[in-house]
Amino acid sequence: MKDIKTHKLSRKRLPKVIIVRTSEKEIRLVRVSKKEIEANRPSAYQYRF
Amino acid sequence: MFDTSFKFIHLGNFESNDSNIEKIIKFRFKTHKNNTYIVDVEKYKENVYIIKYYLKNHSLSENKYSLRTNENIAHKIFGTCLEIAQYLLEKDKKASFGYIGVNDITESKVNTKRYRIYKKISESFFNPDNFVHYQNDKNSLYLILNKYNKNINEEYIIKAISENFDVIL
Repeated sequence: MKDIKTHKLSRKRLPKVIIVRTSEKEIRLVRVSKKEIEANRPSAYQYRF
Repeated sequence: MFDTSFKFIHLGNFESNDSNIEKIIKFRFKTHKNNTYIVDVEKYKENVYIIKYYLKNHSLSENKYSLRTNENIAHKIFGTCLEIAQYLLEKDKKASFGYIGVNDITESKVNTKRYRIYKKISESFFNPDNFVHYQNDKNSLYLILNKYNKNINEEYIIKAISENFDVIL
């Protein structure tokens, strides 16, 4: 009997910080964690999207 | 609070002089005071949509995004923008969104009042299971990237957007 190998679905790694540098600018975008979002949003609202 | 909206009309798709922008999708809606607002949705590559709106009467002003209308209907305008986002998502399942909360004329560009409100709305309505949220308080820039779109190049998108805005170093 052949071994059954489990394959993880390829999942894109989500960077915590994205730093974009151009010749004049440096922009740093920080990922907002799910925990942070849940803590900030009013609990009365339902997600729409 | 943001569940009410104005009925909007899709005016059509227009070309942009900017090579980063694939097209500009124009909408308009009228308020109860019969003021017309224009919503310009800039479609960047990789299905990123930047939503901008202004009062039609301000369209020739350099500060059209900064000017206040004092109609006290902001919640309904935000509700309309959410409806437009829904419309776009129905047409394009890979749609991601972004915005810059433009400063008032007397306000600095850092963590603006508009940005704080838009951020709250984004956190309230865009499920983090479906969208990745990125923020930059310094430039009042927020990106909501669709997890369904696996090929998205965040760096390219941010570069393209920042070229169109007066971004702080």
